[in-house]
Amino acid sequence: MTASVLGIYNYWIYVLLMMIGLYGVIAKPNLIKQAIALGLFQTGIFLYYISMAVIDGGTAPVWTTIQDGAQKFEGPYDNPLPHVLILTAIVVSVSVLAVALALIINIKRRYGTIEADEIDEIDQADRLAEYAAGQAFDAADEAEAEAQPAIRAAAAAAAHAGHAHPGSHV
Amino acid sequence: MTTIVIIDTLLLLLVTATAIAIIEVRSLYASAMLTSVYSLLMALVWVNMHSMDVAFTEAAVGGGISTILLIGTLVHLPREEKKLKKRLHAPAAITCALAGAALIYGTLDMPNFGDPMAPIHHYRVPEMMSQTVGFINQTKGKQPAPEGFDPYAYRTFNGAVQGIPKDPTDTAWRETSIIAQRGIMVPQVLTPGHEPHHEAGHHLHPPDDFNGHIPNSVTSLLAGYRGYDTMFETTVIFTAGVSLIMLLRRPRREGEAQKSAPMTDQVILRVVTKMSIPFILLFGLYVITHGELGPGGGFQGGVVLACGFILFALVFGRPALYRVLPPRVTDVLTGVGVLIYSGTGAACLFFGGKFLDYSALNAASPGEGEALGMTLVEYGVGITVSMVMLTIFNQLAEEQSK
Amino acid sequence: MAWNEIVCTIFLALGCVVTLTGSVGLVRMPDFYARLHTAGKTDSLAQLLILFGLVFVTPGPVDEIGGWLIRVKLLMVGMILIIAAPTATHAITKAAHLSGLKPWTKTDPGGEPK
Repeated sequence: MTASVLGIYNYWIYVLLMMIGLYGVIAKPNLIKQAIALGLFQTGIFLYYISMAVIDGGTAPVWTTIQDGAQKFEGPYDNPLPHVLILTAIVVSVSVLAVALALIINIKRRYGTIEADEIDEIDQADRLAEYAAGQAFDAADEAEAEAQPAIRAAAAAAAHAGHAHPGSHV
Repeated sequence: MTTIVIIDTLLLLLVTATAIAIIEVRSLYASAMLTSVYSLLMALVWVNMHSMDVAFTEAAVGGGISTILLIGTLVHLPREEKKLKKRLHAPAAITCALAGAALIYGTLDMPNFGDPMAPIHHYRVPEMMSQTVGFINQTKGKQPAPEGFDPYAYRTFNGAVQGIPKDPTDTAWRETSIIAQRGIMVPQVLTPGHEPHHEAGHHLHPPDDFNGHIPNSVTSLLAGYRGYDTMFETTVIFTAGVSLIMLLRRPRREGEAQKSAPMTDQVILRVVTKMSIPFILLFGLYVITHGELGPGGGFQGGVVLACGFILFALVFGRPALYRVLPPRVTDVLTGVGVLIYSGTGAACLFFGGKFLDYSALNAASPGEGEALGMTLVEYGVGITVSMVMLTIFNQLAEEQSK
Repeated sequence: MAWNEIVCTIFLALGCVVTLTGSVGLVRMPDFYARLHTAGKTDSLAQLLILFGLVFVTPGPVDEIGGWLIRVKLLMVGMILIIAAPTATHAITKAAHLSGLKPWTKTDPGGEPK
């Protein structure tokens, strides 16, 4: 099977479509844009797959009506197997879009923004605040630990003083 | 150049322009509408390539449901994308260029577009497609293998083919392949000194192949050869519906009324919607049922059914929809669809066949059993898809309390 | 060419001319309402012309009931669209009007209310 440029240039157009979708996913910080561009990428892949099923002079893979056991259309039928695989893939892609949109709504509720870089900043600020709070807690803990011997000495002295005067505690 | 390629190229120019516009436009509503245009153009490209089922699904799902979900979400979100500091993201562009170059290098090995001798059309598909619905000898359904036929021996590729009956005029159980008559597709790889055998008929199938005997070969492959695939596909859709419920459903507080703005004061919209909804629902059921005889099937019909209910919710308000289809009914029906699918498979077990082997449903005429089984599973898929799409729309359109 | 192919070609060409006019109007018109005027009207007419033209070249016997199945389906699609397309145009225009978009006049460019 020799291939020429005229025979395969349409695959290059499909690759271009896929790459436009991929660029949208990587380059755009807006989450909705990323979800839409992912759909573009997926549809480009479906197109590539379906184009492999085409046969010259073929027709849709539905058997035409029968007359005395013979087919009305004698020609080649297109390959139906890629069609089957892509049917399920299309419905998977809309399920992915639906769940992505639900997650984006929850992100908006939590962060107040749907730009990925702003979300990163808010996350960073949260982490820094948590770290600072952790540092403060550790510092308070250490201070209390250092003060422990002095506290114990004071408590022992108070108990000793209490023992020395047995009638004082009632 | 064939006609397909010319129309393909022209349509793809439009598609590429729309894709670039989707990425570059800043308004999110415009992006959503352009996505709908993109899906419809893609459906046209696929009609051009004679893939009717896929075009139908893309037009219904991409052009219909995806747009509704996107616009329903954009109600809660800012309308415009933030202005970017740089127009072009250089690392992303370089990555995409490199990935695209690698993919193009991969396509250099592919056969020409439409080449009938491409490897994808050999070996398994001609065997599955070499069936006629009305058989030449008027015998329906699967035929038992002849005496002494070893199904695993005929697949040797060493040039000698065994297992073919010696008498070529034996028509008692043989069906002639349309493709083999035209001599275009050869079911086995050509090796020197090896005659391509033209009897790619049903008798060469191993006795346990799962393909069906209905006119729409895409639906028969979907429900037969890829039956497990489709069953778990339905489960994926069910899982998406459940995830939406878990992510977005809030328990209703007492006395908090369901805020919605029905458009019942818009006379034209109300009247036209009332006229159209019965036909939309009827068309959805027709597409599900007719999927065996023409393009259609469970996914497409389910989406059309969901669109009918969504139109009702948009014009008459979601409280009206909840009176017709309460959420608990919708929730239960999403599971019922998956149950119907697996239940049909289990019923085949009880009738003595394998799981999802529909020919066991009707022992007298296996072809009729296959048609019945495929209708049942298509209904299962249709019910699940329509109820899940409706659930997703309801959850995304809910008023968010702060 | 047989007579039915000539008739079909005429109707398809008319449909294409009408669509092209609508597209030119979509680009050239000064404001939203004028653009919708051209696009909506030409859309509703062109689909009817194209589908009606396709009825003439549908294969199938003309004197049998079975041969008319596809033709009736085409005409039914045309009838549904002649109700749905103007309704969609009405819905878009009503939405724009209710959100306060003002039409373009020679002295005042219109647009969103200030």
